[in-house]
Amino acid sequence: MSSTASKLLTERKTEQSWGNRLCRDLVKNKVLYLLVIPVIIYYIIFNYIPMYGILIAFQNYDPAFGVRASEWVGLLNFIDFFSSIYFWRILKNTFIISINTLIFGFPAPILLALLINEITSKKFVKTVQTITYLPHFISLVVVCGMIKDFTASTGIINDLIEFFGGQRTAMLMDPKLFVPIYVASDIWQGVGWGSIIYFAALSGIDSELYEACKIDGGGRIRQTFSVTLPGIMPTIIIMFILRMGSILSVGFEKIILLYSPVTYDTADVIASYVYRKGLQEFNWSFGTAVGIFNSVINVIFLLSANWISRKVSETSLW
Amino acid sequence: MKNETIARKIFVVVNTAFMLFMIVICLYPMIYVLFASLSDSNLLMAHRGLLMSPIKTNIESYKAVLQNDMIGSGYMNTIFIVTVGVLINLLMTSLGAYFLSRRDVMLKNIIMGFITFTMFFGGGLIPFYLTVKSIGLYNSLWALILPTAISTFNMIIMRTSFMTIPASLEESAKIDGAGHITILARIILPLSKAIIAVMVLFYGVGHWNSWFNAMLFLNKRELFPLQLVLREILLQNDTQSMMQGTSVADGLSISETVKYAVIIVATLPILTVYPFLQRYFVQGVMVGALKG
Amino acid sequence: MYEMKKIISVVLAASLATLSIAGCGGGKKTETSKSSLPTGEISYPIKTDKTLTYWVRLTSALGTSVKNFGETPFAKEYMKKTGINVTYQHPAQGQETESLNLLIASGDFPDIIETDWLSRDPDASINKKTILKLNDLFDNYAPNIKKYLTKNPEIDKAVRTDSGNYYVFPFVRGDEKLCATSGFMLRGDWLKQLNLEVPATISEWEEVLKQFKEKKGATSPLAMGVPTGFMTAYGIAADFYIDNGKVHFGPYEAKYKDYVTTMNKWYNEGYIDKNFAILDGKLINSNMLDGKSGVTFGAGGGSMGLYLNAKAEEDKTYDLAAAPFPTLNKGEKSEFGNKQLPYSPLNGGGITGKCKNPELAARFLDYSYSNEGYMLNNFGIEGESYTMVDGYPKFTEVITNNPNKLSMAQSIPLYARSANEGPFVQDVRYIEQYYKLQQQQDALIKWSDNNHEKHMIPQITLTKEETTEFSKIMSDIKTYRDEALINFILGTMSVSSFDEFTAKLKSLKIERAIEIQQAAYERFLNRS
Repeated sequence: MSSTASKLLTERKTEQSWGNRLCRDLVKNKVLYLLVIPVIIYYIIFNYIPMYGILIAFQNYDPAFGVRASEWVGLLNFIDFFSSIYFWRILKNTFIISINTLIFGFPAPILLALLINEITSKKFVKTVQTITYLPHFISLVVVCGMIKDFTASTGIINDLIEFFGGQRTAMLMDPKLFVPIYVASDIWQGVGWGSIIYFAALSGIDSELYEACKIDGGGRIRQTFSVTLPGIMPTIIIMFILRMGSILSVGFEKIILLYSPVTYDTADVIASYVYRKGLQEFNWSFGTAVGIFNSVINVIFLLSANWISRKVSETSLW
Repeated sequence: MKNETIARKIFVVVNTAFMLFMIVICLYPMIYVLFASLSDSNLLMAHRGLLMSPIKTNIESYKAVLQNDMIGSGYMNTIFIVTVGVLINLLMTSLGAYFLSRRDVMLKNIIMGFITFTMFFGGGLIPFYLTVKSIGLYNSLWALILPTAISTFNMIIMRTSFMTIPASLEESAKIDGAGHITILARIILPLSKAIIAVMVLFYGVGHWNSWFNAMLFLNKRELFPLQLVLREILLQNDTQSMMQGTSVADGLSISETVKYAVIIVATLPILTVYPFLQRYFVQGVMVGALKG
Repeated sequence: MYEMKKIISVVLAASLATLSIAGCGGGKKTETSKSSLPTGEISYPIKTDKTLTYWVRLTSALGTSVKNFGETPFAKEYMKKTGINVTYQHPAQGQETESLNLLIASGDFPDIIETDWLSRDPDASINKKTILKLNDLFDNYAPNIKKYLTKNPEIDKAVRTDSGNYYVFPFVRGDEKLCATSGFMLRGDWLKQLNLEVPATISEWEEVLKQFKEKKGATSPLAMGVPTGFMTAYGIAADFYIDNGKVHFGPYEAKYKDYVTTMNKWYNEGYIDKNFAILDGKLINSNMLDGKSGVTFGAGGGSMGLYLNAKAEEDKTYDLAAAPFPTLNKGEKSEFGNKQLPYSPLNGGGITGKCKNPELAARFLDYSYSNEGYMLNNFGIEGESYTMVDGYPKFTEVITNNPNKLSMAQSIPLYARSANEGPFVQDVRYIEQYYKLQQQQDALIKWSDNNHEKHMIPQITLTKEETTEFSKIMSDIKTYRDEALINFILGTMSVSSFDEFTAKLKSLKIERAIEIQQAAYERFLNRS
């Protein structure tokens, strides 16, 4: 195309207002927009309408008064939260636990999926897949009961430690061991279930690509790096970005079941702190305020991860 | 070549050993729960450490669980919720994922932002409760289906999967005069069997395990889904609930073993679903499409 | 474009509509209809066809037998005797607080709600018309509760707010023994074999623990979490308490140092379990049952009864004996224990602002405090669940040896409410039968043999501002106190740094918290 012609075209484009372009798009993709309307309605009803609840964070909310009549306190709840002597500690712990879970827990399901992919016996594959996802279904209370039992000074892990010449300790009472125990048990419970999504991604890789690689003389290792990994990379990236979006969301249930005042130093996270505080008072506002704080940080991380991903690869959330 | 075979052999041995290890540590918790549920409750209380077999096998705990006629109604309700729920989930999620995976739609990014925003910011429990109630879903099983019709997380995953389908397939379909609905139904979905299987699993398990919304919106006990019924049984021995005002009647009514029986009763069915979905996680699903 | 605008306006309208529905909290005024009910003393049953709705927790013990409280023989009898029909509603078990909050937020609640109204700021709840002020109703339509309160001025003071409002039909433990249902228990068989007495002082305890460890192979003699029960010997409690009219906070006292020193010593000697900070019920149970421990702290039914019954078949020698709360010197009576106050705010029956027939509701609730209602609440139906034997209400086989194999904890609630809290006065004769074993009966005596009631903080109420300030201060103080205590016991925090501990508490504003409690306490004393 001649340069004048293309210049004309681009000028044409910018001349048209956004509104005009939108109208043409709506017409062109009429069916598409119609298809997505139920989805939008869903989000409006169940997510956007209740969103006025965010205001609770700025009030001294009382259910009997509702949002309309509860007293406004501005940023008081946030200041309350930030001014606790434990604020930095719980923030630090939340990050540390989250990042450790990320570093060790994120790759684990991927590795498992890749390793299972190398198994030749179909039956064995099926067996391993089915069994490894079992722990996901056992309620957290039972899992934590087992963890406490195993790591107690009289438990089997200590039996092993003693066997190898070490000393028995009540492992869950040692602040230094809390995070490893937490992360390891997380992996134990979640690796099988987490690998499912990667199996699905693996099945989407065109087998012709593998053929081509083999013809080029590539062994299994070469195949893994040239075909498999790139093939599931979009899934990995999206999962990673989404994971970054829950960086501060270390759930309180497992922490509460495993921690005790002696390990607060490394174990007390934002959610567990708020939970304890909530036992004192029915303080909706405080919880909402902390929730907003969490969300803001999570969004920042999500956007950063997305931005980096956009620069570095083709895949991103948007 | 020879090196590769030896290295490969070593790898296979190590990998197999690793898999066996995984099997043991992942199977054990379930086995523990099973054995515990079949044990004598008094002796179980005194026991610590690993359980290699049930202690004084008996099925008292299962009798206690199954005696509760709410289990029957619980199962029925849950089956309804899972079946209808997953269908609606698939429908809504596919629509959303399809839209968000199209390449030349103007409002795509805005709507994407509109949706992902809700993953982070929400009004909290009380406004959600009031909204659902005001729509008239109180005391209806639909309160457990409609408000959770879409999981943004799942939709994003599905969208990613849709985006890996080559544009060339759509192009050729468009040339043949296919509209969006045709493309979605005849091309995208058939090629996405694996991801659909994943969605069925994720949503299905999600519905199966859920009890919180049921707790919020259901007053009539005959509508309770399985997990809520079982949770109540589990709580009977929980010190938390006991502290809530058992002044003098601090006697325990149900034993530890029932807790374990409850887990088995609640989980076994859903465990059997996966083997059926497995065949979709097989490579080569795409092959037919390209050749054809 | 127009489509967009239309959609937006519809959505806006819908949201505004929802907002207004949502915002209407409990601000509605209730019309007090002119009641045709006579005032003063009346005879039941009342002739009426009006019904009431009643929200109450369905206890787990009942949950296995009935779907609704109204199905129990107790409820049926109660409705028959009062002549008033009531529809019961229940929250999901374990979620009572959330359910109630949601109920109140929705502005749509039943006539009577049984819950802990004291923790919901009763005066404020009355102002918001969530519940009604009961003073007039008591005077005119609730002669039985009125009589009871007149006869028991201490209870009367406790069940009112600082402004003199009655807000619930209360739960009252009618006897001292009902207030002390947990404490220390040890292996009675071991004591006998070692020729030891049940320990009363700290030094006696040390001797017992030492011998349990050395001679009985109890690797961790104490099966309990943080051993706060031993604080009584030092004349302090773990939290706030009263001494000579002044409010104190145990960990802020000098004697706390002696307590942690002793506990640290016991940890080093191996009396305290190495896992004490993370011990849960399961580990404690196994320790007590297989002999790794010889002492625990628990309830007469939940622990003592549980263990004795579990071991009854296989080990007839296994025995548990209760110990009183320890002192430092022999012959002294402990100033502290683990008692509860006679008036317990749990399950107080409040009449809500939505009730259209408050007089009827008052009559319904008041029946529990009449002689007949009292017996019904405590023992059930005469001839069915109990019979009078020489003037003593004895439970029948339906309760003690239930044909459907229900335990007493499950059979009692079908016929009577005495096993749990509720709006009635509890009678001690119920627990005399519920605690079947002699050890349990002894336990009640041993555990009530102290002066704790002189030091317990009564049912004070804090104003809204006080509550906010107090909670903020205490939240961090509690965290610090709990951490420090464990670290003192372990030795990671040296007892010699105790002054730093006290100083830190001060910097966390413990004195302000004490002030707030003191002010509320004085308001309580001034209640007329």
